[in-house]
Amino acid sequence: MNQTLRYTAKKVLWTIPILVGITFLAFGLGLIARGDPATNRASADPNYIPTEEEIQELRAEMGLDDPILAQYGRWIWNVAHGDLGESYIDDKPVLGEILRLLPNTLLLSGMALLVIAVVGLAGGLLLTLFRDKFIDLLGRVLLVLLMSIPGFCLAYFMIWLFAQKLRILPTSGAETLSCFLMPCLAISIGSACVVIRLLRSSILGELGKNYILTAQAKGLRRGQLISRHALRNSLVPSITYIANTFGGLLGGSMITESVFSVPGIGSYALTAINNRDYIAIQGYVLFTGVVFVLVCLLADLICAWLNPQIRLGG
Amino acid sequence: MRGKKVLFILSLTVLVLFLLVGVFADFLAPCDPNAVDMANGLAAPSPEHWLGTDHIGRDLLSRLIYGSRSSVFIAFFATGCTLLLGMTIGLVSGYLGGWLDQLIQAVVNIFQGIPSTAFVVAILGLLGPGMRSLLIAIVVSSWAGFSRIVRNQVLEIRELHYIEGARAMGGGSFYIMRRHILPNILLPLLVLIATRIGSTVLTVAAMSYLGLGLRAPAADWGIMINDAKLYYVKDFLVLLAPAACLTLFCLSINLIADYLRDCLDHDDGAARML
Repeated sequence: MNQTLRYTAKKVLWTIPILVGITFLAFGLGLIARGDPATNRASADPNYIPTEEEIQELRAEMGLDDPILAQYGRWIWNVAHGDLGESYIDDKPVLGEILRLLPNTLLLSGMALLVIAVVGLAGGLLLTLFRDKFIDLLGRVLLVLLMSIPGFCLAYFMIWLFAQKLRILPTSGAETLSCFLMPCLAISIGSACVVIRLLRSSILGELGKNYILTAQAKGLRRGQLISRHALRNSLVPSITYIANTFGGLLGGSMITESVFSVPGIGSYALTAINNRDYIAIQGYVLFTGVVFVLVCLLADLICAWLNPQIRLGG
Repeated sequence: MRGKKVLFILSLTVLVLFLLVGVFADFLAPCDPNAVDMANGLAAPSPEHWLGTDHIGRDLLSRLIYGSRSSVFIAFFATGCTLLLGMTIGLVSGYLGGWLDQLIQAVVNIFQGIPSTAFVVAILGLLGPGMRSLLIAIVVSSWAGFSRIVRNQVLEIRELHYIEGARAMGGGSFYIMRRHILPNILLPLLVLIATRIGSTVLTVAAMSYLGLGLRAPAADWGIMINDAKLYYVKDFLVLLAPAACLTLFCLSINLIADYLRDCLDHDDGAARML
């Protein structure tokens, strides 16, 4: 138990410098933004052309004349107080907007997580149980094919099939749960295929080890070997992959959100980009980075719990 | 295994074909990819336009051919740049070790802490669309993962006897890295390079689709899909053609990566999915 605690503490402490680094990165991205933020903000109203003095005044007001470190200090101070700044365009707080849109993204990525985990696990087990039989061979060919279809192409095919031809699902929006069905499938099918393949190959790798031979000698059947011994040890790569995908999705799957017009974080980021709203982009990068790192940390801890070798060895 | 080999050769042929089509687009394309013919929009396939035309009467086949130029070129070039940067950093970090390694790994962790799509989109959004921004965005968002894998490879072989021997003979760090370590990690890296080329093509297409990659009139598969989204109900081919090209490209890359992976660790069942 002591060792587990030490491992957990070490992992948690290591994320702190990473999080600090991400704040640097997010702030730095704002610095390289093309164009002068003060000019952009002053010309947000297309009917009004600002004078040079007004822009200078705005620069001073926004603190853009201060040294970079001072600007970073002020930014990070606000971030620590839960203030990611206000959008140039509509003066709405960035964090508030992100949190307002988060439930849609959360629902979408949660559903996708469920599909990826369930389909991936079931498929991987199925293929291993029927190894080298017809199902396995057919399945593997299908997996490579499905994996290769880009998500947004898949999205359009689904719209064409389910919404245009069969007329059973809505094409866009976020009002009912059925709106999320197609976007969820569009983002999860490819990843589910990857998980199936990962799991299959790691279970097969595990089945070649000596402890499995011992269990086999004691008379366990193939199904029991997998479910009691091999599965637990083979889950680590799949869990790491799923966590990576899920973390990425939480940052908003812009492409799918834009195809299906789901008002989520990804759509928010795209709008911010079209408006050159660099405060919003900064806030968005910071937010996704932090969420991603935390999800990966959680996955690491789950893996260490599943496989003591990780927490004892590291 | 024999079936896989056939698939591998087939995929390699497809990939080379895409490359050749891209290189010789000027000779192969039957029409100018940007020649607008408003009267002849969404035309069905005919002898003049083998795949028909898009919504403003541009020849679909010619746009596909030029699209393979931009997609494949950017994918190979960007992967090459990422490889160069990631490999150099990974080699130095893994071989020299010490505080430099710690520092580099900290930076790598930070760059990997932002999901890659979000990273690419943010960089493109801040730099503005275009080929140059696309290259920068892809390299900046993916060098870290590359260098980490190279580093882990280097750590594995750094302590082997032949490296020790080279060191005992008085070989300098640079010499050992170049002559003894690099050739031995290159083969395992091939799998990674192949998958990266595939995912870069997808990134380029997706960003162009979002309007953040290449600029609109350019012939690019992503832009074609974006153009098609209002018209594919009337004429499914305008969507199917670029989507099929993208899928075929990714399929061949995936099959190539699969085959290489099988060749590399046929004795180690837990194939590393990079």
